[in-house]
Amino acid sequence: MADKNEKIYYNNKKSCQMLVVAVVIIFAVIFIIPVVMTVVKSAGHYKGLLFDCFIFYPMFWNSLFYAAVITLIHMAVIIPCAFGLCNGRFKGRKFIFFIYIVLMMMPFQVTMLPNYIGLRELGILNTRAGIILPMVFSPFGFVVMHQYMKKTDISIIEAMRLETNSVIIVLLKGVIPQVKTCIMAVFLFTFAECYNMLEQPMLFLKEDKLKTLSVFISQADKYEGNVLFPAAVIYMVPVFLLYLFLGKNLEEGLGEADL
Amino acid sequence: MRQIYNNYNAPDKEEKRLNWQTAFTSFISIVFFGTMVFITFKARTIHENSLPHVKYQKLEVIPENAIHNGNQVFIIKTGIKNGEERTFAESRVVVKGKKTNDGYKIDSGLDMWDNVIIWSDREISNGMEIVVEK
Repeated sequence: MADKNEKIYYNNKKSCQMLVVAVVIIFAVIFIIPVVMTVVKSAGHYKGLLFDCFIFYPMFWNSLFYAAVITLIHMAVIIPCAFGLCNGRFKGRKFIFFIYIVLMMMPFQVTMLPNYIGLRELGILNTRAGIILPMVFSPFGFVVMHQYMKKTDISIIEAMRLETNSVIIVLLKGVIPQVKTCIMAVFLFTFAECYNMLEQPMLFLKEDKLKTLSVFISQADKYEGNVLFPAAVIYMVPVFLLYLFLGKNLEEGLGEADL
Repeated sequence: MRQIYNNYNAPDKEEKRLNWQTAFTSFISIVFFGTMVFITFKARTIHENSLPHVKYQKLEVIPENAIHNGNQVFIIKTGIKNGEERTFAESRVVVKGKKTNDGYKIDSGLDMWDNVIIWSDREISNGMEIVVEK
């Protein structure tokens, strides 16, 4: 009798697992269909884009340039900031972190006008710096890094403090090796966010030669020939390649950070 | 010898798979970005090589070989295509006047500022994009 019940239990479990796999496959197909359609529809139109629409090239390289520069400077800023806020002992530490959380929750539409006014007063509207500077100080990466750094082994930091007084050496040799996974995950996430930005180039830049590929795709009907689909395929490739390099770190890094 | 062999950590399956994945991704990245860099610098040259190259002049007397189908000439027009200024050929029907040694005087159909195409390296048609040789 016990054997019979066990058999029924395992059969039910197997059926449930098969059902879950089937549902996941259906959802995966639904999500992947637009990408496949884009690739299929782009066939035959690459000549019109690559050899007749030359504004595409500066916009493509601008996308990569902004994403790379913003991400690198952003990482250089948030790692010491997160370390300082995590390990420093001063009044108002929790309040500062609370402000960061509030800023992180604000949509771009709320900060758009203050940003525009600030950039205009600084005289960097319609320049590359007007795109790079606001994104460098974006709060999301800082919050993720801060949460991950809370879990670092303090005993290593204390042991290093016995060896050296330099905070930079403690950070470089003691903390960063422990948070390498999170750094890769935040790097990938920030790069993708900057690569996909659309509102900032549309609002803060006037010249087409400074704008990004996301703007090109959003205005693809302005150009002759069917340039939307081949541009979308080329647009996907850099982020896809970066994910192939760092995807494993993204899963580990964001999974371990308590958000 | 046995100690060396025992201490050797052979890469496990997962590590081998990651090495292959990294190598493959690196290869695809180099090919993709190398192609994009090459096309960025060469695309315009390739495009212009596929277009007719023409010569023009502002003339009172049009050479006979610049007149097509008996009464048609092509002039140079600038226009905007894909966000930038480009040159196109526009056909004009003209009324030929007196014949001279150099060609025909045009009675009507052309304005004084029109640049008439007097030579092209291949056949052109109305609205076709062209490259003007200096």
